Amino acid sequence: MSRRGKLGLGGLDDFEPKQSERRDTAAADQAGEAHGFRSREPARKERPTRKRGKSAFNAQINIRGREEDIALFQAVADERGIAYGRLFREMCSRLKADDSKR
Amino acid sequence: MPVIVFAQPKGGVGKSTSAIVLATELAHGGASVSVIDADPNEVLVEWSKLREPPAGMKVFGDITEDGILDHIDDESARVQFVIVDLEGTKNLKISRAISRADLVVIPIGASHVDALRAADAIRLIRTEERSYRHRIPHAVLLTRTSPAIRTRAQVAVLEELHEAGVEIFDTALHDRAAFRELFAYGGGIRDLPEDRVRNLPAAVENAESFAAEVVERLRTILNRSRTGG
Repeated sequence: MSRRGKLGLGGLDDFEPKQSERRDTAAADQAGEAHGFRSREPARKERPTRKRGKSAFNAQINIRGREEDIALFQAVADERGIAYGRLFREMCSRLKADDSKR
Repeated sequence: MPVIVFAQPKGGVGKSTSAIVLATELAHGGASVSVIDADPNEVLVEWSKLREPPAGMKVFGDITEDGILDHIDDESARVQFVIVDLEGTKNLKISRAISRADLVVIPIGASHVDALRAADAIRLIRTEERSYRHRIPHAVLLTRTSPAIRTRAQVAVLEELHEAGVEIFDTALHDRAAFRELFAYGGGIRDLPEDRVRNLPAAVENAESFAAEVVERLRTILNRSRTGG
């Protein structure tokens, strides 16, 4: 292989492959962060695995009622942003509480 | 072994050009060289597809932030020179690559804006030096200069760097057609067709001087670290 004089007599054989000194990456990242050198790769966010407890709202009744009462029930649930099951529960427990006050 | 990192958070300053010039000159000198193209634009990977790189030289692309240090470590255990080219933005790969550098080359055009961005890189290097309690040699390389004259801007930038105590390469990479043609033809400066590229011998001479200065600096740096000085 050709060796040119300018790169030094005897070529470049004095440079040998060598294990580079491993340094803590966190320190480089902190230094980078301090000077605005930030990640440019999209963050790979771990999707949180939601552990949902089993819903207690799992029984069902089928009520026959007047159309306007059903519409009112649905409107109240919508206004409060709660599910029918929860509204039903709240209505019942309030009525029960009222009864006991009497 | 030496890891040479080309770092400059501004684009269009001749980073990839100077990286290729150095890599091909070292390969021409008989060395094994790995080029790690960590710029997502992968200009050097594209360059390597135009023409087979010189014997002993390999170009690696598809480098992630998480993978860059493993790549550098693997190659520095395998070849004589590792050259890392980075994206011209303030990015994490720059700060990580600097942590492994034996020499950081900071290319700049002769403009105040380029010098300001070079200062960002130098501040980062100095912080890492403090964190690692280890000197990270670095020097600014002037690129795209006129071979004939020193412009007023060039003199001003040099003075600015001097006053800030920043090391500067004696060699500047001139604005020569040959350096631009590298990305059209592939290969090194010496592989370009002499009949088609203006003043090729002058570009070869310039490339050789730059590579020789890098080698000289590396010899000094490595000797200093061997003797613990």
